[in-house]
Amino acid sequence: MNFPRCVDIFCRVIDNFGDVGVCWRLARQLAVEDELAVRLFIDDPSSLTKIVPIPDPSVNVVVWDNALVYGEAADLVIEAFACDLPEQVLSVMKNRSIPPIWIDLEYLTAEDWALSCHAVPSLHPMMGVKKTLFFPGFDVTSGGLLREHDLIERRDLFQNDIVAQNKWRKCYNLPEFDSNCIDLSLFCYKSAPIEQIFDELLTYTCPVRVFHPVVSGFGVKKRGSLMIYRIPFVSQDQYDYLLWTCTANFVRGEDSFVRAQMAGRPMIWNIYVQEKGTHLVKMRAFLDLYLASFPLPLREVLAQSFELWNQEDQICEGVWKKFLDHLPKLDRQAQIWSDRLCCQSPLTVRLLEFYQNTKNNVLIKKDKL
Amino acid sequence: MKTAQELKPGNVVVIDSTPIVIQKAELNKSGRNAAVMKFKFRNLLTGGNSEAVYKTDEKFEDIILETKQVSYSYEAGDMYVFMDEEYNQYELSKDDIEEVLKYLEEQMPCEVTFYEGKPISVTAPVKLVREVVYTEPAVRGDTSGKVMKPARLPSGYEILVPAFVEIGEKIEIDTRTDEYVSRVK
Repeated sequence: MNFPRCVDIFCRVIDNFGDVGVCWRLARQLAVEDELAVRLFIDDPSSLTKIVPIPDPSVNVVVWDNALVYGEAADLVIEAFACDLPEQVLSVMKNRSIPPIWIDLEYLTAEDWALSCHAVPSLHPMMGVKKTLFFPGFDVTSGGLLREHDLIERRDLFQNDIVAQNKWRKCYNLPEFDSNCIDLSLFCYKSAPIEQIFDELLTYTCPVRVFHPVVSGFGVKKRGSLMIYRIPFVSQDQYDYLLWTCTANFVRGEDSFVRAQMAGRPMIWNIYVQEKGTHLVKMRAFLDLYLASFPLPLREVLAQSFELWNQEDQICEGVWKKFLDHLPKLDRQAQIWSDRLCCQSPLTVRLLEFYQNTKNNVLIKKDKL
Repeated sequence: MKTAQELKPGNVVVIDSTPIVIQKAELNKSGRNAAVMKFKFRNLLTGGNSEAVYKTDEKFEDIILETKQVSYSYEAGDMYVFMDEEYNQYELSKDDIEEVLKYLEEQMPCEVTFYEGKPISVTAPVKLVREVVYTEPAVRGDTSGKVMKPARLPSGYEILVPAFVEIGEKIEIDTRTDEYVSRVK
């Protein structure tokens, strides 16, 4: 097998926790599951500490600042989210006796163009080293999604164990599971119309409990039949349990978005806002795929909810009540979607397969010469 | 130097010391993803075709090559024949003129680019006028020009035009972006 022995991942933290979240998850999987020597070069280690208080020692976290001297390139170099590798790093890669396989790991998108640009090796115009854009995705021909090998097993155990759920909830001062209540986790950007959803749900027919991780201002608020629990920011691993224990999840960014799909529960995505509304194109491409197998009424409910959650100045008109009304049916569809994703090989497997194939091609060409 | 986003079909650049002619260039951008250009190109030394994807700000060394004004004459099998003012004929393959095909009409003025004496690509004029041979009827009352609909050109290629454009009308097109510019009366 032509696996890399060592992997370098470069990550610049732009804002929030999405980029570092994905990079850490990737690094840990390659190190723990594939037993590779992984170095994670990160320009803002403090952002990693917030989502991973005690990093797994199998990943070597290296501070990426101006003083960094990159001594030796790994077999596989991953530039996360086109973070622009410094000249010195490029020079070390170029001068390596066997050039590394250089991957630019891109953001997740369901748009067709990403599939056509995925895994097309392209010779760097100046350096003569091949760089390949690697697009995570939902399709078997894409780069796939990050998923630990035991994730679904752990999820199912937890979701079928009310005692374990209540024990976990207690750690965060959350109320016990109650089949008469709807529990929603809420993780979103500031632009999301939170007050609008709260206003509408405070008169809902059954009690609604919102679990809202925040940086400060913890506590419980009651508004009509709505209870809002502001809990401390949870780590990446603990966040999975929050998603698994809730009836539905409001998530944001990329890593949480993927984890919510793996949770097999209904979810609403708050997408990172971009100029000229390009994020809405991306969101609708996902909806086209995600909702394709949903029955028509459910498709409309969920599409309306996504649109409302991601655009300012939209009129609510009972959208959130409809969303809650349809939760049992949406739950079934979310499970089907999760099963479909989990039938596919995860991103790390596809990444290493790509590495293997590329290496084999290089060897074949050398043999011919 | 040119950035990837500035490169157009017909441009010749050097990639790792090899001259490459761009045959097709496609811009893609969404959400937080880096904007990327997907290229189809031909290696001018080996004649091999390939694809590559670059970030739009990637820099390339471009080569200025000899060009000549020609007009399109006729199709001969798999080749397309262009003629200059001295009646010299230049044959190019479908791959070499892929981006021009959608506007190609007899006597259409073009620019042929040569590499070491051989024609390698054809560029269409920046602005062209073409007739709309089919489009859906206009929506009454919408004169804003913001609502767009597909319109078919004589070549069969479709571009987006404002809703008020009708069948039989002539429109000006920017061939660099394949976008509607205006109606021509």
